[in-house]
Amino acid sequence: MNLYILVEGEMGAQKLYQHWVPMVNPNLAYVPHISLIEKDNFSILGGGGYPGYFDIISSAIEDVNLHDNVDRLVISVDSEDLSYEEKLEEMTDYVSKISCRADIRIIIQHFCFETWALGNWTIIRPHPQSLKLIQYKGFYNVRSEDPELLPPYDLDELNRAQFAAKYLRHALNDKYRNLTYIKNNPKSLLHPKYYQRVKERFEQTNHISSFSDFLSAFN
Amino acid sequence: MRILSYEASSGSEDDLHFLKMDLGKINLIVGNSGAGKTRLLNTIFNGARLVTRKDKFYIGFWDITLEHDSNKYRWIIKTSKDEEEVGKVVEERILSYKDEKEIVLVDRTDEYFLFNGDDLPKLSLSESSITLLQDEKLIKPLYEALTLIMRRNFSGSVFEEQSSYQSLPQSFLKKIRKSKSLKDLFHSGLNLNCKLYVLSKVFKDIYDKICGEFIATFPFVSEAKLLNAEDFGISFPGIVPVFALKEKYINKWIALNEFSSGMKKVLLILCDIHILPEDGCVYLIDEYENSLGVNAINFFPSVLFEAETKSQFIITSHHPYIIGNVPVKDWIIVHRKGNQVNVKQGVELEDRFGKSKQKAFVQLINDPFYVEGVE
Repeated sequence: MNLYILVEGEMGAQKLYQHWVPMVNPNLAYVPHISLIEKDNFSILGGGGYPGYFDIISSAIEDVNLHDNVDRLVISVDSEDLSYEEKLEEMTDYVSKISCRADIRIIIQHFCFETWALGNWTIIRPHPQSLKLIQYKGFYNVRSEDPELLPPYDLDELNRAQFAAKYLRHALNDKYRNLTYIKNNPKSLLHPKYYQRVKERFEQTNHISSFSDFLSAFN
Repeated sequence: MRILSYEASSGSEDDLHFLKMDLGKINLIVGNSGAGKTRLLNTIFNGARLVTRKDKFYIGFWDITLEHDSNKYRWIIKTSKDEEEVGKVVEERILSYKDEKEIVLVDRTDEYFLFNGDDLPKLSLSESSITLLQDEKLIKPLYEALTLIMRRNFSGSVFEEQSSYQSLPQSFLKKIRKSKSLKDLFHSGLNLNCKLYVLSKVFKDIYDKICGEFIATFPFVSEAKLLNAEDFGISFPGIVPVFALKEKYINKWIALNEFSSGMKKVLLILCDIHILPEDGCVYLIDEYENSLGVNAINFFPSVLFEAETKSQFIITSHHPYIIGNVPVKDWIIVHRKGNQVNVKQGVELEDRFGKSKQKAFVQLINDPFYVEGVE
């Protein structure tokens, strides 16, 4: 099976997919361009956070129609301020208007990939040292509560996606002193153990339910 | 004048080494921050200054093949500092080509100096052989070629000086009225106000063209005119021209030094492009787009492609619009591992990128050579 994956956000999301997809399906090997896809390959195209993601989707469908060895087009997108259902409807409406010869799967990262990353409960120490993390944990404890239900943090004027990214950064800094998380380089999230913890959280609780989109898209 | 291929090291052996790259008429250097784009431009400029400026000596290595006035040369030079920290030429070779045949013009080390097969007496190692032999018929075109490398800086005091008040030397005006040579203006070192004044007096058609293109880029400008410093209440002896504009609905002249940064950049580039020497020069532009609005950015690619000049452009950019409007074949992608800067020529990507409907910029920011720009 060959897949072409579109990732909306900063280049960090692309790196994450490059590492996590073979953890879901070890038969898949990454190639850096759609034209290099041969057998059991996947290629990823990131929007880089620039505007015009719908144009990128349209061009990707054209590419899939041109390269007849692509079996599935996977489109990943953050729900951001919309609900999961609203974002799914928006995306489905858009792609249904364009004819595509391959199967299309949509991944709604509800509401961003940091939400899934917060699903790794081991990164939140039971007794954090960071004052900010203590505040965040007191406000909403992602160790015990569903990270997908994280509310905005009005005290710091953060919407929920900004809050998730900042929560994750403080958690990782608190747990591993020399570890800094930035959106463009999510190095700490690439380790197989990290992925495994997120997967366990999804499987063992009813949390981060949008992660099922990710798992099913690559099987 | 055009550089055909280039390889260089800046400074000592621990500094950056730029592996060989081929250059065309328009060259867009792209790469992540820190990959070495600006330093690449600096090495090109410094290589030329090593020859043309007696007060400057640069340490490094250069291997440049260039073409000027139907002559093709290859110049290879290595310089270093001696025990007393004085710069000296370690080795140098100049080759010329006739009917694809290679002719060694200069072969030099600190032990010997051969020019066109003949031994020369010991000459100063603090100057390149091109500087020393610039009046020799065989070397003259090469020297002249290296005087035709221009770097346009868009930041700091060098940029601000372009719009400051400058007194125009009468002797220069007299000389150029007689010579009517744009090359004299190109080499003059005058700032933008003075250059525009000279153009208005000696090359009126070019001046009108620049004003026309400037107003077309900024349609809110109703009129552009050359005034004097006195019109702005500043008293200087001699001619101190001030380029000024009027905006629609505002009845006041605005002097060049009060223009927005983008308007100054556009005017500077327009002026440069129209006075580039007819037989061409190498024009280096580093990150033109910084702090510019869409109108000033959109102007740039078209002005490069439409410029009626034989000149060569070597530019750096991070901007999607500029990158997207320069054909992939004209890109040079730089990627640094330690102190070694590798390049990928755009022609290597052209075929692959052509197989996708995605915009070239989107494909570039997904290319591992670009994404992992610094290892």
